[in-house]
Amino acid sequence: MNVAVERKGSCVMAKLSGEIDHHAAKSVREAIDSELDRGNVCELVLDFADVSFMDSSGLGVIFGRYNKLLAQGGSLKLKRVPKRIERILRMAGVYTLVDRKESKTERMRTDVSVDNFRSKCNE
Amino acid sequence: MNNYLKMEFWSISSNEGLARTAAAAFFSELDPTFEELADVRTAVSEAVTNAIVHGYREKMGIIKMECSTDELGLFTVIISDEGCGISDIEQAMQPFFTTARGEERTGMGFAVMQAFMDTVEVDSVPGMGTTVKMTKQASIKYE
Repeated sequence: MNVAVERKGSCVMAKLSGEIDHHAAKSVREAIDSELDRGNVCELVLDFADVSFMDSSGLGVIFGRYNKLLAQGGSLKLKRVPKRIERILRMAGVYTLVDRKESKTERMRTDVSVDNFRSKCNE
Repeated sequence: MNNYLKMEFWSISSNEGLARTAAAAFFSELDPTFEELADVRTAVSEAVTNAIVHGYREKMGIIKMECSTDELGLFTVIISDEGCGISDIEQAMQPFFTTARGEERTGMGFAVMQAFMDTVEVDSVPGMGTTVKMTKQASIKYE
């Protein structure tokens, strides 16, 4: 499991790769939280493109970051979620929470493009 | 195809990947679909994680995993521990119920097992341990 965290202004992008299970969850959580704990984060984007496996421990990581961001007044977005992971996210109702802080247009999407992320960071 | 596998391993988190990979490799002999294979990987991961986190409460113990297949394409996996057991199985299987909220556990483990496998049976005795038996039918060659 590897996490590459990039920060641009108040936007944080975490690119996840490998398998997210209970064993990996702690290191994923710590890598992301080390950036969130610096404060002033308005948006966290989790990029799942290279995640090959995720079980409910990954849901815990997502819900935990969602709650942390909510407390800071920030929002969470998921990007490039593979089909094999989409199923468990929908089952747990993740998108109802992730979409909650988005506009009506954005609520229809489950993906955030890199260009959109960069443009928001440059605003 | 009749086959049988038995594994015993310590309740350490790095063995979660070992267990799901072994179970999936064993199941793959039945030529399951990619989705069926992914379902077994996820369900086994949930059951082994439950044994580590809830059964042994992160302390050292032995987890047993038995896998079998039959000539009709049915895969069966039995995962058991000798941990603290579950006093109320019905409550434990409710989605979002967890006794470890502070550790970012979602309480979705059994719900995922039930959604991804054909059958899930849980047998537990407080103080003695828990056994989870799950089955999955490989569809392509056996319909």
